[in-house]
Amino acid sequence: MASELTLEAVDQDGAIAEVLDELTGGTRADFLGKAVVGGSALTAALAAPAAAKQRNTANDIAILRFDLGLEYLQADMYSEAERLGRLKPRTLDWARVVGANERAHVKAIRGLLGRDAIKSPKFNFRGVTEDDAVFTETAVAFEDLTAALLKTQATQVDSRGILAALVSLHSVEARHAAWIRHIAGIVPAADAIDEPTSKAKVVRLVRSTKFVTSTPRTKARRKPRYTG
Amino acid sequence: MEWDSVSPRLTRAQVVARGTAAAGALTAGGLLIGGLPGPSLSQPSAAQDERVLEWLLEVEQLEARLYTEAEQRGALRGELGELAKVVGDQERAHVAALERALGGASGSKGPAFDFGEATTDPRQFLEAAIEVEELSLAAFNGQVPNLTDRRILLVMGIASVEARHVGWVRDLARLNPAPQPADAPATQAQTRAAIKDTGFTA
Amino acid sequence: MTRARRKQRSEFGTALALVGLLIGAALAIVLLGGSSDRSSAEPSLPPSPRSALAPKNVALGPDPVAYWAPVRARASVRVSPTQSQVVGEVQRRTPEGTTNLVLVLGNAQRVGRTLWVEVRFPGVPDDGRGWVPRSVLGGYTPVRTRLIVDRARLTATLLRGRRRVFRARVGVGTPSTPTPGGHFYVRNQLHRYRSPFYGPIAFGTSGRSSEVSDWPAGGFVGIHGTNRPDLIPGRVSYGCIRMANADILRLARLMPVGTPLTVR
Repeated sequence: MASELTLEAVDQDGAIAEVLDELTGGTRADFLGKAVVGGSALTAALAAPAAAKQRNTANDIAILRFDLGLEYLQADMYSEAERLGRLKPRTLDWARVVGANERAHVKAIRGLLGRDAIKSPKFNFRGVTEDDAVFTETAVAFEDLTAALLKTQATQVDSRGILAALVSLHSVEARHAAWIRHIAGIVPAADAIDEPTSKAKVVRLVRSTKFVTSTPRTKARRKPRYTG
Repeated sequence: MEWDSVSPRLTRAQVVARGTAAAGALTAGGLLIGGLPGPSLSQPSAAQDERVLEWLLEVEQLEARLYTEAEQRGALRGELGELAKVVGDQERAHVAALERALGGASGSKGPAFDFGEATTDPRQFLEAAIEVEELSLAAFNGQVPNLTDRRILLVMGIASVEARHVGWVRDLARLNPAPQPADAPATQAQTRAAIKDTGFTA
Repeated sequence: MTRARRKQRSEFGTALALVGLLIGAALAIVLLGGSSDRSSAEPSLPPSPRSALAPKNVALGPDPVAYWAPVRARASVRVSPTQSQVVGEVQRRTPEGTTNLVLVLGNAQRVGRTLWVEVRFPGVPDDGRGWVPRSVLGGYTPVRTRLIVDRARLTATLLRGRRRVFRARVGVGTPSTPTPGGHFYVRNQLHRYRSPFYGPIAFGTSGRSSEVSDWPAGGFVGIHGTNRPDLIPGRVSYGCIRMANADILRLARLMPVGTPLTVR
């Protein structure tokens, strides 16, 4: 019965809401003019399969891809640190927990992007995952900057659903940042209000680490000259 | 039927492009214009921003009071004592920032809170801080997507610091500061219930 | 701060537009007719839009067996970070022109400003270990497979974790040109060459045959196919580990470069 339906119940992917919105741009007269009323038509329409998943805009894809790259870096860095096991106990604990979160972020953002997801770059962590002091310093920089970047992106995304997703990740990065700062003996919250940062600043940080590297060439089309 | 469940999930671009034209969303049928409490509440607008900020100010006042009282009573030592001061300063700054955004202090100090020993006993203080910071963070996270662009940076800038507070106090309490990969938002009703659960409200 | 106003492009046809109209109409009717929960207080703020995310923590997979790293710069290999005695050298390239690799053994030590790491390196008859500066190496890649060659049983077995994923009979070195025993690793893979003697695919290892060290290209032990499968199993080679062509093709699908090799 129509009286039991709510828009949310029916509109799993926001498709109908979007269309509704398209309609409300028109005037009242327009709407009435277009209306086709009929109980069976309504029921039949509701029985139809859900429309195609709402596509991300090019803007949102670009934003999510950038985030994904950053999450790949952090996930890999913390995973490698956990595996190599050369950090102090509290830092290792941090890498273990936060690594699990960042790996989840990778998976989640890949899910949001679907076919538009990018592959992970290859990384060389240059000893940062093997040295407690350098690891801690680098982790503080990345967590602080990721939280700052997500604020800027929040003002740039088109989709409110993606915005809600970024909001839910943003505060977790801030938790990570406070925690690693606490471990490092720095004040977990330096300012009353955290400032946003630009994508350019994040790019500069990533470049300065020289973590992104190319895949080594380990195969060749050469005739073997092994001993035989 | 819950009002909340019928708010259409418009994209922000559409909302901004349409401005208050979206106020007609569910009344496009032309049948209900007079009857509803204002579908504009479900889409970002300057009016809604103000209501969101007022709500978040309410939440901040609870936090600020906890730390202010703890600092005033002076019983906490060491890092906890320092935390009460540092975080208290920041929560009071949040209150001031929200009041400024609302065009000046309302004059009202909000409801009275009774923290009991939570502002003197270290263990109870830590527990109270965790409880209050977590519910505040969830409240903030719950409202950011409802804001217009103009207010997002301010509110996220505050939410970010609340999350840092959470990380700090949880680490002090030897709890996992970041147990979930994503923080869940809370509705106003959920936050009100959580505040009631603290037992600090009269 | 400005943000470009973007119009969401509607992807949906007229049919769906009609559905939207119908839903709108239905809702309008429902709202008119349904009971209202409104209390005398102002309605509460709306919930935030449903986020698509409900991620769960992702556990790290099983521990890798080993890590390998490319060599970025030629360097001497020291016996320890604090002793300057040199036990070998690592080059940037293999004789086959691929990037040279070392196996990273997991120990690291900072001496002054230099971080040193312990590695297994190529070109020694068996189990060459030593220390190089971390800066000489590239990024670490984990490996989860191990190859074990048994010279007594004439078998090659590939393990992934504890599971056996490959096994084949092999030809190994003759008594006068033996396959060296010890711990090595797979250094490169050659393919698309024409040489029936080596079969369709050949792997280079870090192990060197001590008896033929004046061999062109350094006398490194390889793992490869053969045009004499009738000699397998057997002690027939100049040090290489040979297997039937079908087996080497199968192995190539399962064994990445960097896989540790133990020759018993």
